[in-house]
Amino acid sequence: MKISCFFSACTIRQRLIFINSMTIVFVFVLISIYTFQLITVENNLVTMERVDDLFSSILGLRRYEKNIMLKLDEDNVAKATQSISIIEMYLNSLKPEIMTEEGNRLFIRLEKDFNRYETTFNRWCSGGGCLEQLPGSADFRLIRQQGQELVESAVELARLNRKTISGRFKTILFWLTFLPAIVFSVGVLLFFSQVKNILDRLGSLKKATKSLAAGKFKPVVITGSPDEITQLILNFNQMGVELEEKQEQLIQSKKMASIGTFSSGIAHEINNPLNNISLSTDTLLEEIDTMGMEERKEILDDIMAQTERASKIVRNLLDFSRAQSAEMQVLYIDYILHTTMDLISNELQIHQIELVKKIADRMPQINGGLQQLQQVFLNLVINAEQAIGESGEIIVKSYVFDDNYIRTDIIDNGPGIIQENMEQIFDPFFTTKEAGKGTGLGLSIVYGIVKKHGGYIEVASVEGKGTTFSVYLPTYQGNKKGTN
Amino acid sequence: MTIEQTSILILDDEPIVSKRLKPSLEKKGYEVETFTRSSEALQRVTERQFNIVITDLKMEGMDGMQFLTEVKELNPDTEVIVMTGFATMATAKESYNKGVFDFLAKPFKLGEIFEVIAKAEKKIKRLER
Repeated sequence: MKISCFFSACTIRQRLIFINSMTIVFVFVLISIYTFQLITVENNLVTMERVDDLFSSILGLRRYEKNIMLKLDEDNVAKATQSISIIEMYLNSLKPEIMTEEGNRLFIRLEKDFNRYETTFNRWCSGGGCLEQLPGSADFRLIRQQGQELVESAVELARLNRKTISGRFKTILFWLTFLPAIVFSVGVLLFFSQVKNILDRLGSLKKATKSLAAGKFKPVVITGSPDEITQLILNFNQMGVELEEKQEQLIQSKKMASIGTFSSGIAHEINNPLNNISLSTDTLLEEIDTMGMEERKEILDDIMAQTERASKIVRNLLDFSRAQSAEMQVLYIDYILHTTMDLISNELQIHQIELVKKIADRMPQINGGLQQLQQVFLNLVINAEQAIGESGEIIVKSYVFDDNYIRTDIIDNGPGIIQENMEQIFDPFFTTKEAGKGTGLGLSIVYGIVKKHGGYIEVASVEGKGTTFSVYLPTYQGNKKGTN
Repeated sequence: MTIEQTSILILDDEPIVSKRLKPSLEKKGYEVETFTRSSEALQRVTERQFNIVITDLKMEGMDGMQFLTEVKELNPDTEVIVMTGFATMATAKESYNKGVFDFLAKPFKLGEIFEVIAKAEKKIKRLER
């Protein structure tokens, strides 16, 4: 158990043990102080009682002294002598109980006064002289004066005693209220500083856990002394790193799987036009002499068209790889959507497809590449259009989702996607369109761009009813990096 | 020249393949029918027998592998030649297991396919004897 535990280098367990031990020690100290104080007060009370007894004896003595002077009764001298011996006894028993310097001084004075009085009284009364002298004689005056002084000394001692007792009570009151209050407040402050430290770190851990669940791992910074929470944070950070690694592996293996589709797609898409060119050229070479002009022209047209087809595939591939980098800027989603829809509205009209825009007002901005995002929505709308074919409806709906995202739905009432194709639709070169009509890159480009923007994409489809693609883009959060 | 013409069916969803091969092969004396849809080709195979079937692998609807399986089932004597833009070991193995005569990787030249057809023809003739 270390004092330093209050400040640093201790586990929570050690701190708890320390705080509890401190509390117990404090309670014991307090109980001891009270017990001591109460015992002292009790002693003082006993002393006070004796002082009071002494005082009343002295008053009794003075009454007998007065009676002697007034010559009232016979036995007053005997009673006074008895009183003197009782006072002597009281003084002796009181002597060891006087503790203070002030008390000692007063007690000695009282003793001296008493001794003087006793001496005077004995001289005065021995042989019955006191009974014969007249009031007003020198001895009378002397004894009266000394008696008076004796009473005053006793009064002062009693007063001092009372003062001591009331002081004791004040001390007890202090220990009983002020001290526990101070200790309690200091304890509360310390406790809260400890608890705040723990809660703060738990809070940052909680936040990190939440963002980890959202797929954004950021290691929690370790602050303060190493304790259980530090260990927890260390474990959490390690878990986050491992999770990221695992996810990376998963993505990698998915990439490997899609590379299969990818390369077979490239091969198929490029080799078919190449084959057409090869066969056509070969035919032309072999039979150019026997061919009519018309036939030669037809073959050359075919070669041209197939070259165009192959180059289009390469262009799309370039778009696909270009989707990886672009300049980011803060944008309004409705601007992106409106400009994109303008590009395609004519095309949609020709195919008798109605475009319904339901774009919410006053949506927060997003951070992204304008052309990339236009391509995302253009590809999705073109896909919807091609799915519908002739006459139908496309709804573009955009609204704030889950506070931090803007969700944009592209809803078509086409034939839908069959279940077994669902898993592959974002793979490069996966297409259900006829050869030469689609490269199978559109959705994988969309997927790549959305992912690059820190968003995600969902698809829901009912066969025969239509398909909904939902694009989630994170809203712009000031200078904080919300992307990647 | 044999009295009976060697019959060839070509199936590829790329129309240019048929457009170029058909006249060249006919000039060489073969009887050629071409298709761009596997369902139509399959229909035709059930109607009559071909000596040689040349098919692409990746197609819409029924793919080349299914088609050649059907063809071999209907008539085991038919020699099947596969054309493909993307040849993997797996597809090659599967094709040979199914009794495919040869494998042509796209892009190829007219001379290459003529050579394969000639070899297949020779095999057929040998078996007939």
